[in-house]
Amino acid sequence: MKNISDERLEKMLTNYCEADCGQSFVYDPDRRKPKIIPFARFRRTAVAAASLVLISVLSLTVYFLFGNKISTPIAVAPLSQGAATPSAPADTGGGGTQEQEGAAPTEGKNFFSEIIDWLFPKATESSSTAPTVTSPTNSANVPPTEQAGEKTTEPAHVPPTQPVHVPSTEKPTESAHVPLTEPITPTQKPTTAYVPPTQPPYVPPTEPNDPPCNDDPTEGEPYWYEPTEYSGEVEYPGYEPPTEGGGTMSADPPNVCAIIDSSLLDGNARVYCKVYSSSGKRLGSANLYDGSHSVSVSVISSRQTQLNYEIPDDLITYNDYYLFVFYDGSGRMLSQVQQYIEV
Amino acid sequence: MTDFERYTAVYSPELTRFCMKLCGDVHDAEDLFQDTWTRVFDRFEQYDPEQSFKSWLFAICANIFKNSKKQKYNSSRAVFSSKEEKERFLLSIPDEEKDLDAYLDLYDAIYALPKKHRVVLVLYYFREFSQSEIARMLDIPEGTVKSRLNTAKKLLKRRLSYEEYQR
Repeated sequence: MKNISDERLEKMLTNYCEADCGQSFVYDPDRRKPKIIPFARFRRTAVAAASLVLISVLSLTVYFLFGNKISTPIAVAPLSQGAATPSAPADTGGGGTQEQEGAAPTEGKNFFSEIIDWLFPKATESSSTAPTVTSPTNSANVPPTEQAGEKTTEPAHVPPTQPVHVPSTEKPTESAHVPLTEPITPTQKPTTAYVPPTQPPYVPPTEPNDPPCNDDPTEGEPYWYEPTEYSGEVEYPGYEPPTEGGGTMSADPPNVCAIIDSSLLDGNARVYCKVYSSSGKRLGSANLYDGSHSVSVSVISSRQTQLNYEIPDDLITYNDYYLFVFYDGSGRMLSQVQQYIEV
Repeated sequence: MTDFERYTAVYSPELTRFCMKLCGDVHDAEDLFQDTWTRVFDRFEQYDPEQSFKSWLFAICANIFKNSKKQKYNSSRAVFSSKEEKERFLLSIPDEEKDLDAYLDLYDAIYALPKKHRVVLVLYYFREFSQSEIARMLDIPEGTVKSRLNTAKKLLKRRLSYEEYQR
């Protein structure tokens, strides 16, 4: 390969650069190329339009994702929820359904339900109270959604006047119907013994209801009211002032009656009674066969015999429930009665 | 007539030749020509009358070309856009030069050089600028100018020798 000398290259380059191209350009000021900035004039408008489109797309997405779920009532509870089992017998006290309704109301909520609750709390409430579930049990009192055990986190929907919806931690038993004001002893058992009402007669109040006002409260007395002493001169119709020891014992001594089967006696004419207080302490003498425990026996019919125990005066000293257990002469228990005794 | 218009009337033919030597293609050369005058117009207040306007003008043109992207002002593969352009180039070669094919090879070889080497080569052989002036125009050290110039000539010699061997 033949090399080109430096002199040759120098001469060629000089001739090349001196070669005239034969033309000359003319400067044209109108050909100035302005800087092209995309959306320069309509930048704000474009940004606003893009934002509007984005918001619209997001709104439609939220509507199509969650809108149908909000408007669709939830009719079937998941199988994992034990609360949605309205198989309890009708009107059995309602305690069982109460327990089930109050147990874990948010178990069936999934992720989307929580999002819906967060986004549309009112809409969720209205949808959850939609009457979609019908149940044969307690349908008159309990809202359907509460029976389903879903979506109900507050008992505010329950009418407060209905005792069925009172929250209770006790197990559903028959005693749920007993008023709470009446004390219940654990020894109470169902019995066929007849207990006559032992309500004492009406006793009028011994003191006036509105004592007069103390006109001089500056004497260091702790109470604004000072009860006035009862003079005993006021007479009420049917009222008899106590003669000894006070108290308002009724005229008739309190008796305890029990009706037993006549075959239990087997000719044993002697029946005795043991008396126990509510605390379980036995009252009276330890000798069962003394005169203080004797019970009068009266035959009502060929099958029934009535036992009547007259409570001694000094046996019971305060008002309370007492347990009366009847025994025959051989020590076999015939019957027992629990009764509230007022002295 | 303003000063700018007077300068454009005086230096446009020489700037046209310079742009044609840099780009090789008439369209790329015209774009470079227009962009150079536009830049001069925008920065005309920065021109110091005590200095040479030609140096300032060519410095702007050379820097626009050198700092542009690789494909800008360099779209062609150094082929003549028309037959008349090729004949005009050959007629400009002195008559004592008989080997015109060597000039056609040189034409292709120059446009195969990188931009930074091509700028230094064209500025130097334009007979108007020394290496120190080129260094000042391009804002590079003079040794860099010399190095790029030697590299450019080495590449051209290798290319021309290969083309001559192929013939």
